[in-house]
Amino acid sequence: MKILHSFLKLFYVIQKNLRLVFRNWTTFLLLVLGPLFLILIVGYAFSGDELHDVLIGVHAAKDADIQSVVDALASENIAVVYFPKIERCITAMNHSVVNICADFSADFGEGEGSITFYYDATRYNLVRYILEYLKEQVSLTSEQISLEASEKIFSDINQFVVDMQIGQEQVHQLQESALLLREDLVATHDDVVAAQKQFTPPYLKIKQLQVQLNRTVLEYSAAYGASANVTVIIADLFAVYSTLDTINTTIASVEATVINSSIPYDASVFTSLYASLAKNEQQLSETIMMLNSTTDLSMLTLRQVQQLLHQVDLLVGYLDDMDASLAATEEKLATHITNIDLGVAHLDGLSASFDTYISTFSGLNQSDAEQFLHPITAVFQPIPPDAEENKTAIVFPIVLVFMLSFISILLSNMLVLNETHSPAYFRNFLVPVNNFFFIFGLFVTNLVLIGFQLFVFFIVAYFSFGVNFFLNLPVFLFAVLLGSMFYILCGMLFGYMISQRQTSLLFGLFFALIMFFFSDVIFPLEIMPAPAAFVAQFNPLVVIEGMLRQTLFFGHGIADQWFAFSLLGFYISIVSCFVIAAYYWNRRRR
Amino acid sequence: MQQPFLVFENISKSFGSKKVIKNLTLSIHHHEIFGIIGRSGAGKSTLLKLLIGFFHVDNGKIIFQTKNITNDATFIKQLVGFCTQENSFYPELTVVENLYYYGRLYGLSGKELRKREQELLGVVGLSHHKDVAAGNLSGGMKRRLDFAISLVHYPPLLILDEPTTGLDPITEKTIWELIKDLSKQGISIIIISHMLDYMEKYCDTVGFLADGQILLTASPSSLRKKYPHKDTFADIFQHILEESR
Repeated sequence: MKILHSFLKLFYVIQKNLRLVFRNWTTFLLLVLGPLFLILIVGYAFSGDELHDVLIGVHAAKDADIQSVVDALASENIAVVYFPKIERCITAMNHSVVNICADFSADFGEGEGSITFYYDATRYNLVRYILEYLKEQVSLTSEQISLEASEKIFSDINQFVVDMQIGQEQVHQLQESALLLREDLVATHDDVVAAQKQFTPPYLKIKQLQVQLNRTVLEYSAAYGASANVTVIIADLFAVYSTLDTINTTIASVEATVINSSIPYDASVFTSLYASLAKNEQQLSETIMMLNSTTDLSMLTLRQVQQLLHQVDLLVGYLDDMDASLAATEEKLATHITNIDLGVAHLDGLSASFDTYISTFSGLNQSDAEQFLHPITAVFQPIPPDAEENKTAIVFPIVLVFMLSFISILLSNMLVLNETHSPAYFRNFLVPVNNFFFIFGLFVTNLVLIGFQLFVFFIVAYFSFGVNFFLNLPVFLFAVLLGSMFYILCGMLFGYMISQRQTSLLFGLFFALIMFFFSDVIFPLEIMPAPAAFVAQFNPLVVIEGMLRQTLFFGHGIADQWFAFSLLGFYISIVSCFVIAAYYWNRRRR
Repeated sequence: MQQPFLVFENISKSFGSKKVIKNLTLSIHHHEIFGIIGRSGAGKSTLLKLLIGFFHVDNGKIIFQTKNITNDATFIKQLVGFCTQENSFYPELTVVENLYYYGRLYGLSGKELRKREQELLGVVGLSHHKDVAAGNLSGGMKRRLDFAISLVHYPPLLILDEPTTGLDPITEKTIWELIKDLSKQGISIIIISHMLDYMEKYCDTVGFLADGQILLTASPSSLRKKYPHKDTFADIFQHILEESR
């Protein structure tokens, strides 16, 4: 029971506290609508997922073929602008004119070569998205090029293999044909040689008989009118006659061989031969019969003998032609065979060439795979070059502006609230002092306090985190001063405008949170939905952060950032007017 | 007859359509303690804020001696010392720091301030507490410090709005005595208070304010004579109110 009572008392205390909180409608609205508004704003700002309003600066040698890569990099929301020098592009990037610089190698062509991407490392949150995009696009292009190259290579290989197969088939057929032909030629050659062998002995014999017959006829002529040895002449003629048979047989055999072979065949030669042989054979037969029946050689006219000898000479002449023809045929065959051998040797050479091609293809180097798969080499170079080494320095501007906004708003808000809620506040209206002095006095007080905090902050940042403030210290301090002024005035405005402490502080906190979330602190503007990004670029936090970043890392002066400085000056002027108005409004309510 | 120290002549002040002060005429003399009595919402605070230059007068004149100081805030601020119902100083600062701060704002030099510190802290009895944080003083001391701060710039007119609210009876009396002493030192005082007994006792003249108008101005003694049958000053005030309806 006692515990129950204790709980009830606790309940009443909580109930009273909640009543006090919600009795003020502005506090109530802030507590209920504030988070709702915040989540809607933040949700909207963070709902983007595609890069937009990104400008890529490109530099390439005159004859470099970069179109395919440039086409891949550009898109509906990402534009490409060409620079004559990469240094100019980097300068433009430092001034936030372009987001990235792509420097194509001089030998870049047909989708091959290297690209050096220079990125503003100080925009740490954009870098991730930009690099991701570039890697993806370069990889896609590289992949596309690889794919096209692969398709071409494979197509070439396939065509080459087909050509090789056809060629090889043809070579094989040619080789086979040549070999068959050679075999035929060799066989024919052998036949011709055989025919020569067959022909030569009777041919030589008949030549010998011709000589012998000539000699006999000469002797017969010398002994004309005297008795002669008829038996010797008959024997000579018979020997010739006998040889004619052999010659006839041989010629028939040669003709048969020639007909069966590929040797050019001239039937008239053989017909003349056969006719001559037949005539010789008949005359010889008649001469021999006449000699056998004639005992007196004188009866045999010399004229007849000479006629007979002439017939023999004709025959021998034909046989000489035949011999010559056979020899020529044999020589020609031998030449053909040699030529075929040479052709076969050439085919062997061709086959060897195919072997070389095959060897070349099969011998593709594995180390070429990288070049084949990634024809484009991408190198990413941060600007400033040492940005990756000191990440604390890179995030310093955003930490600074974050600290500046929260501390300035809350501190100045509290000081105004302390002043306006002080029992002494009313006396300010009694003293003969211009009201502006109180506003300005409070403003300067805030500035001094913030200045002291910043001094400590800078000392720690310089010595502990190596943040270099000296690139353009006066402009950097001026930017810090303007940033502080803006946030102090905001805090003062809320203090004068909203008299209730908790509401005023809550409002200041929500304002700072909205400024923080609706900026490029977490997600870059380039990834926010375009309308949100358009509004957010005018967010004072974004403007101040940009000024601090550009001054701190690139040493830019006021002239380089005239728009940001002017915009901030405009904001300060507007808020100052509101502060003065809020002061008088606050005074009137007393 | 002595010329009035301060004259309100047909003063009017409206907030929107609401007329808070209506053709009010009032005269305050040198070294006089002038008490304004009125019910809540009668227009007392508005009248004081018109006088200290916090509000602008819509119509009428405010004449200081012979000078028209209507809406001349700078002059009025030098002329008037004002103590609000609540103490009006920085509790975090010490007694001296508060005194010096406001003295500087009124344009006093360091030398003048050192002299004024001695005088004022002596008058209000805070000489021994000059280095104490104002927030740590007792209620009576705080009130006296507020008086001192209001007087730091030598104002000839001191306006006190409920000067003894929240004080214990003994301190109340001390404060009224202090007011009387200040009057004796040549300072004219306008005082608003609901402590009618003290008003009757310490004020030279009282004015009855109702609905933005002064119904009557008279010395307490003359009012006693005029309304002999009324037991208390409150009864007289109530009677005057009823008469005005």
